[in-house]
Amino acid sequence: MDLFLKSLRDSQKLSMPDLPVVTDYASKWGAAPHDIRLFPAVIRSSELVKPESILEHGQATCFFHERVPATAICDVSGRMICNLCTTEYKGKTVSLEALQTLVGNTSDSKVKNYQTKWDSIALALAVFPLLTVFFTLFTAPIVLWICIFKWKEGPTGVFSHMRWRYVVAGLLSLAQIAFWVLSFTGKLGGVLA
Amino acid sequence: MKAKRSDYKKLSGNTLLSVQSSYLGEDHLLIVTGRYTESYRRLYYNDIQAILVSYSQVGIVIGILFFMFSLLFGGLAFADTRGDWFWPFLVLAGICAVGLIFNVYQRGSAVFCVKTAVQTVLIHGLNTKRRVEKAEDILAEKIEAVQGRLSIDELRTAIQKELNKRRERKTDPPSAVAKPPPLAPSVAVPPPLVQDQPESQQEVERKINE
Repeated sequence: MDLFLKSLRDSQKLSMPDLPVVTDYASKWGAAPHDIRLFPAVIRSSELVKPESILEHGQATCFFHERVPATAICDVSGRMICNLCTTEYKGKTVSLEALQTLVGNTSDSKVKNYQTKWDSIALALAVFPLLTVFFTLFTAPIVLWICIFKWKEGPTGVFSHMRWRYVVAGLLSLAQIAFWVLSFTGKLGGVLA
Repeated sequence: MKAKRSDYKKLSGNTLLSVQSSYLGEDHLLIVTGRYTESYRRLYYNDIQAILVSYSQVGIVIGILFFMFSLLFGGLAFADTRGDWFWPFLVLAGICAVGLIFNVYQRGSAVFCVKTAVQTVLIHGLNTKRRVEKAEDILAEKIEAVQGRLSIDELRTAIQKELNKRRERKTDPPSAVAKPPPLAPSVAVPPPLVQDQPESQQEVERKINE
């Protein structure tokens, strides 16, 4: 258990309050006042797994640590494993390596921790260069490429469910490309007239 | 995998200076950072140790600035009510007055953090007292639904236990730690005498005489 909390306003350490909910804490001794609310996780001790003593002669060893005695058998791979490598998954004793395999097969693990929002990028690239017009000569084909090749990835925000940004960006980029084609061929004046 | 918006309840949104929003999930707090590349951090309710809030003076300073500018622009507008600058100054004064009212409504600025065993995460969107008070209650309710409520006795016992443990560590030298090997003597020690070494000539003569 930590006996200190880090102040949010400066680098000072605040001693752990002895009440679960405190207001205006630390102002008495000149530090920035804090409201603190503690939860049971704060007193939960982290259990460290310690390796056992060095292997004695004739003892079975861990598959991953050849100098540490084995204490369990992995239910998935059947390998002998030590305390350091042992963990539990859905009631089974498994090694950390087997755990990675097990978790890797579930759909939850396929959730990435980041996502590139191609639809927002396409829309920004289609709209912001309009301020200078000339940049659209380069950005319009890029936007069109994004809209075509990233369409399959769909809306890319974690809460986005519609592709309207691709549609708007694609239409804008087509209009920009048309504008430049007409400009270069000298037909822009005719079209506008 | 797409998350349904109904699975999450928004806790905070983007601010002028940061692109970070947070959502309350079933068993975790989801923090989304970034505009064009979103990164996701999940703080499970079971792991949250504390909510820390600190109120700052920034809101008061901004409020004073809004007040002064609204007075300034109002004064300039009404100094020449028939001039060309009357309406622009009046609009500016109005904007500052709205800012001031909003600032007073939000009741000052704050910093809101969620602490776990390994990190303390600052929630940028919860930067005013009004938002903080609302969010703190909702988040605490979710956490306590998972972890239960921490009692005063439990906390005091745990602190006392930890203090005792640290005191013991200071007073007792750790026995598990291996002692360092003794320093090598600066003067070389002569090798021990061998038992079955042949006796010297003088000793043999002495034994014969006896």
